[in-house]
Amino acid sequence: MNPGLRFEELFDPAFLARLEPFTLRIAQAQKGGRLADQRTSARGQGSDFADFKPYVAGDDLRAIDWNIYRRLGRAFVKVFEERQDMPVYFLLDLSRSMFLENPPRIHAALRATLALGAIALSQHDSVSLFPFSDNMTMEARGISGRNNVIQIARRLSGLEAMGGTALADSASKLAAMKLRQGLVVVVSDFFDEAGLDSVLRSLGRLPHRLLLVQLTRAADADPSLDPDLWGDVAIENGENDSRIELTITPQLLERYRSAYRTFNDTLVDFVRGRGTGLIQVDAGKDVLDALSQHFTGGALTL
Amino acid sequence: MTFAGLSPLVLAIGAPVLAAILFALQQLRVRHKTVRLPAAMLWAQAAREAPARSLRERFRYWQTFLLALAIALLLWLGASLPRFGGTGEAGFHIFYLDNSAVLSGRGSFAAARAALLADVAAIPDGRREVRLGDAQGTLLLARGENVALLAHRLGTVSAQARPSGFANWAPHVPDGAVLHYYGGPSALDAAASAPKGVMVSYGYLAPAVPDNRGIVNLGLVPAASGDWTKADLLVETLAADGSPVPPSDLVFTRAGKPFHPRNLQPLSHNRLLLRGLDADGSVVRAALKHGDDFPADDSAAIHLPSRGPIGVALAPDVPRGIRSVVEADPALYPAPPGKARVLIRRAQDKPGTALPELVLTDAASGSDSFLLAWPGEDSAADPAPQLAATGLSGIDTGALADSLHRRVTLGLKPAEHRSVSVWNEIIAQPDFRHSSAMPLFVSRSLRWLAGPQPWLPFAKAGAPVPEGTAPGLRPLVPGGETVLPAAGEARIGTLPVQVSLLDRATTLGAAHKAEEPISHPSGTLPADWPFFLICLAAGLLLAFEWRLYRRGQMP
Repeated sequence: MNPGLRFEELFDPAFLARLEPFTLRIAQAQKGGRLADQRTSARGQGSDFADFKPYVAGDDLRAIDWNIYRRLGRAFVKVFEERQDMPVYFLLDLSRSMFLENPPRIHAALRATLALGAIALSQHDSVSLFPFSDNMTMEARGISGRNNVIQIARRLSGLEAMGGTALADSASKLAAMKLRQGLVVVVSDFFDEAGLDSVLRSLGRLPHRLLLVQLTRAADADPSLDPDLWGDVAIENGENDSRIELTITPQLLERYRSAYRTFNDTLVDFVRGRGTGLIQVDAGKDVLDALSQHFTGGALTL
Repeated sequence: MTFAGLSPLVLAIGAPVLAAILFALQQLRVRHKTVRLPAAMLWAQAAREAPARSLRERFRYWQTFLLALAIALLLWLGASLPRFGGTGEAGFHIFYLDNSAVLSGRGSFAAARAALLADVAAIPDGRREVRLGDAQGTLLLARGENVALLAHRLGTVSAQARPSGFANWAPHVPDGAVLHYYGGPSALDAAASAPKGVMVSYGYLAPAVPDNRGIVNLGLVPAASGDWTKADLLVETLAADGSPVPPSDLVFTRAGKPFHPRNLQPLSHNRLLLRGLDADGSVVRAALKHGDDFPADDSAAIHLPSRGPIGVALAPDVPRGIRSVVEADPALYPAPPGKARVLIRRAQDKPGTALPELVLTDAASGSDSFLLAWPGEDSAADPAPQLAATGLSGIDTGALADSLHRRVTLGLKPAEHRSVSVWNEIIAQPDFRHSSAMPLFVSRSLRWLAGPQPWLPFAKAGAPVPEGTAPGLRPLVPGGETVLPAAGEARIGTLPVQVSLLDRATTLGAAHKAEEPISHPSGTLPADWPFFLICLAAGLLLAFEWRLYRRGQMP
């Protein structure tokens, strides 16, 4: 079992500097938050004109449109769209399977979480960390402020492998917390013993926008790339005592490839159907390269 | 159980090695390598989706089927033990105990016998026979006979001082048989004479004697001095390392007593000539003063001819010329009829005794000019030796006929006693009387009539007696050979013979160092090379299959 990343390994100023062009947007954040950069349905202060309304006592006199008053003889005030912050909730997979292989997927997962968290903080959004394994815990809630990226890095660097994968249960628990609507970023390999369908059903019930970050490796799709996969093997997922003894044959390889294609197709179909974002990060490659492919023009809008 | 190609020791060592290799392969085959993968759930799903086992399914991998079939067929073919040139005797084992002089060294025969008994017991009764290395290749243990009989039969066998007959016997080994040899190291060369399809292995080879020396020649000739009662003896020695053998290294005995020859003449190539030995029929033995570990050739002996003066009874009216010859020849002397061995008389005289006789006849009697008579089957044999022995072959009968104005005829007839008849006219003929042919004829005829005991000028063990070398000796089978037995005292008919080894090849072969004492195929290829070829091919195919399996290209 490989360890996670130490703070020195995770917190890289150069890495963070490369994130500055990126912004993360959702169509409309729920109003009720702090003033920030995300569009909301709230009307109030702001620079984006939204509508006119008849003047009532108490309205800001500076908002009266005097041209309309001159033509119509009635006072109307300009109404502006109020931009507020977006809560970003990270569901980070700390199951043991994320700590297998070399380098382990957790390394890429931590870097992706830090990167997206840093982007959120840079646009005045709040960040909450919900690591999960067999159970979901709350590592941090409502962290905001550009300078708090170091705090997120410290929280992430202290995380260790926990147990199995219970993403479906964790998503259900998150939904039950009735948090302010925002963006839920799920960072996982999505290999849950409960099955992908169960996971997606739970995720589908979340009252938040979704961004799925899938940690993959090339050998997931083509197991012939794994030099250990030949002959008689016993495959373990590292999370429980289950052990699958197999003789690798061309037929078995083909069946696995078919199962993996179905797995991925199911995930993509869910993403398309729900308008959710999906970022597939190869754990053996650079994380920012994978992220940047989805930030078209520097922004990722969900 | 048969171990055709391996010794029991190699087999015993190889079995656990093979077991260890197979155990290791088994471990490699069944031990699952643990691989930890996050996608284990998908592998489980793929395994669950495997089609259910069915008794028969679609034939997919004909290449792998052909590969497995080729391996199986090769192993099946190998199990049949194919052999090069193998015919009806393929896999049959022939054990050959060479009990010649090659096993006469100290303890060699006992060791060879023990090795033979152990090896024969390892072969099934129906697949082996045991031959003795004598002149006939005596069958010691026939195919199917119980091995217990062999120990009993070997009790009567010992090493004999005679040359090995292996080289002459080996070509007659049935093709395809396995020949096991127990004898001397010189057989390494002799094995090449075996048929190509015969595999020769060596159960025992006597240790070499590098400094072996021996007597390789001991022969007699009538004395060069012409003295009828004397003989000359030739002795030749040989050292395997090529060193000279000085005359002082030889000692002689005669009739069992030490003997110091006076007329000893060294010749070249380690040869000695002893001149003027009395032909008294005694045994002369030559021996090396210092023996070695191969004693069979360290001494040799031979019977001297027995040739005393011949008493001749002369009738009163025997011509003067004949009487002069008798008186002049030191091998002859006039004697009264009671002490004489030969009688000379005229035809009209009554013999009075049953002695062999020289009879003088008249031409008018109608008899042959020369008439030889001798007893039994000898008279039916080729007369040439008789004519030579009597000196008749040296007479110019043409000139004699011209002088006599008569036909000169030769008659031969069987008779109870030897006799020679000749015309008085011939003896009286001046030309003949004054020629050298007359005394030679008389002298030789009288010697022939006296019937001297035959003798062998050379008695080599295992060798045939050359025709004519021993007057009076005849082979037992007409046209056959009289072969001398092993060294020692023997008799041929009534003739005592002292036989010696006298074999140059044996003396040199005893020093031959065996460099391949265990197994040596007689041909350029072992007879069972197809079996090894099949094993090699099967091994290569198995390695290829293993490689395909490791690459996941075999189901």
